[in-house]
Amino acid sequence: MDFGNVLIIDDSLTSRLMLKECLSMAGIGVLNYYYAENGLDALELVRKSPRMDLILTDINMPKMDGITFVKKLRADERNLGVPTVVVSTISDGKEELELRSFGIMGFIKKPISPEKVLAVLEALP
Amino acid sequence: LIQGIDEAKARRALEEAVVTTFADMFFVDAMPGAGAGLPAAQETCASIDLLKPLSIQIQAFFSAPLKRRAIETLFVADGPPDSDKEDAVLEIVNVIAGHFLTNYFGQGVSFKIELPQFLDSGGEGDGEPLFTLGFDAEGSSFRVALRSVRYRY
Repeated sequence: MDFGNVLIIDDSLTSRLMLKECLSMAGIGVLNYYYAENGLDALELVRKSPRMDLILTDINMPKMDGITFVKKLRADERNLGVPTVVVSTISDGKEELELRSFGIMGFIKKPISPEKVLAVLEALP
Repeated sequence: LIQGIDEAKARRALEEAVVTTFADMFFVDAMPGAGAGLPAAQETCASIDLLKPLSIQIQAFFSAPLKRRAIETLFVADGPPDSDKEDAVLEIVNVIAGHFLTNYFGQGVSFKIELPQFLDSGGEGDGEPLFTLGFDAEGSSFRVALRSVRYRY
C-alpha cells in the first residue's frame, strides 16, 4: 500500500514523528509527507499544496481542532474524496458519528502502533 | 463520592491507564504501589485538565531517568533538538488521560479536555488533591495525582 502525499496534523511533535514511523514500520510507502500543528495551519497547507492522498488528524489541538478542520475541509468539494482518518486519545461515540457524517473513514486510538495504523488504512474504501 | 468522583473507581481507572500507557508507548512495566517519589524540584511535572464530564486535573511526575527513557524510546536518534523532545512527556500524559477517561466512563461518552502542559509549580495549583498513585517503572519512580477542580465549563 502506497500513498503519494500524506498530511499529518497533530500539535504533538512526538505524535507526528511516531505516526510517520508507524507508517514506515507497517510497510506503507509515502512519497511526500506534510505536517501541520493544528487545523488552521492544515487548511492553509491543503490550499497551497498538491492534492493530499491521505490525511491523518488529531482532534484536540490549539487554534483549530480536528473536528472543525474536517468540517471546513469537506466544505470544499475538491476535498470530498480525500481519505481522512482521525488519530486521537479519546474515543467519543458522539463525535465519531458526527465525523463519519463528514466523511471520516477511520479512527485510530492513541497510543498508535504499526498494526493499528495498517488495520485502519487497509479498511479504507 | 468526592465532588461527584468515585474515588475507588478513579484510582483503578488511573492505575490501569498508567500501566497500559507505559507498556504500549515505551515498553516499561510500571508497578503500582511504589514510594512517594522525589522532591518536586528533581521531577518533571506535566498536567492535563479534563473539563467534561468531570472537572479534574491529572498531574504526572517524571523522574529524570524515566523522562530520559521515554524520550529515547519515542524519538529516533536523529530526532529533533533536545528542547523539542520534552514534548514526549506531554504526549504520554495525553494518552494517560485518554485511557483514564475510557476506563472510568466507558465508550461513547462525550469528553472535553484541554491540551497537556508543563507545570512549573511542582504540582500545586487549582483545586483539591484527591489522591496520588506511585509507581516503580523498572527502577525509576513515577507519580500521578488527581485533583478536583470545580466549575470550569
